[in-house]
Amino acid sequence: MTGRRQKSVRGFTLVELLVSLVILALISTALFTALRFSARSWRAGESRLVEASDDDALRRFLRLRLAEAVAAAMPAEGREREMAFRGDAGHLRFAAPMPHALGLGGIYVFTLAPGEAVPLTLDWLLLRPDRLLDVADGRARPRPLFTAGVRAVRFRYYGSVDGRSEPVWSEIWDSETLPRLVEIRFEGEEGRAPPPPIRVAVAAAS
Amino acid sequence: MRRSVESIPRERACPGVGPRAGFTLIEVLVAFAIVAVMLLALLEGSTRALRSIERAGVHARLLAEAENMLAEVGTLVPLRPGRIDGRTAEDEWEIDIEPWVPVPGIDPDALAGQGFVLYRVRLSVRAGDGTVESLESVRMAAVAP
Repeated sequence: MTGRRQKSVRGFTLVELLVSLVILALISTALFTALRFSARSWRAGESRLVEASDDDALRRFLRLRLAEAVAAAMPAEGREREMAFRGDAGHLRFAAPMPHALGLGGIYVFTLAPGEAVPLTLDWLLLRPDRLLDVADGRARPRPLFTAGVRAVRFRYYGSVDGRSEPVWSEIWDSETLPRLVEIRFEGEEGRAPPPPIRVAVAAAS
Repeated sequence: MRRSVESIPRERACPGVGPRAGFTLIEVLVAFAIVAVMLLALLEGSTRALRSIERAGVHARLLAEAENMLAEVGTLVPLRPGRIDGRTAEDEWEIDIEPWVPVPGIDPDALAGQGFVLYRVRLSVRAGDGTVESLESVRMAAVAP
């Protein structure tokens, strides 16, 4: 009896120590895994949030500019003047007012085109009666547009080309009038759902 | 034998007292439980934040679809009173168009006499999980001769 009691206060046995170490190891492994998992998903969620708000700002910008597109003529090489609005499946050029918040106000000619390493770039030049003017506002042009997970961008136009025939969807717009609708579709990268298309009613056309 | 028990230093014989005191099992368990509860609360908070990011994504998609559809009213979707609905790949949509009187008491026919008519366009897009995004707008149309 006294011998057992003496043994019980001597300390831990090797087996007890090993068992407690194993339990501690299991707990800390589980804890580490859980923390790493939650940190990773947190980071993924954060980058998705940033992506989504960038995407939202871009969509809003394009939507508002296209909705305010005007049937302006611009100086052209070879010809006297040509319609600023012109587009095909991969490129779109249009004239629209630039909000004052983004620099010198006025009607600008915007050009959306695929870039070298990015699916879409935006260029802008101030429309003057005699020429297109680079306002040199310190921002690099053409500017790559952040469309995360997008492989390619396609444009489509809805309207009647001559102003009299039935309006139809077309991949090319080369007319003296504005299309009634412009659609920007995004093709997603491998394994990623593309962002929804942007369809804009051109206010000056209807 | 009894004496030898007495001879063991007191701090080793009796944990919790003296300069070499350790923790009892209960204390350690309570500390673990407190840490576990705190970690659970942390995980719960981050899960909730991630879920609201997910929901924001759904709202953004619905809003994009609703804005696209509102752009089509008057071109692809004829501007006349009535209710139409349909489905996209993921969502259900509904467009409700009714004559709109800007000031109560004005006779709609008087407006029509001016050559135009106003419509209130209400548009809602519903996702599979029940999230709804609605847009409302007023459109003007010429009265058919």
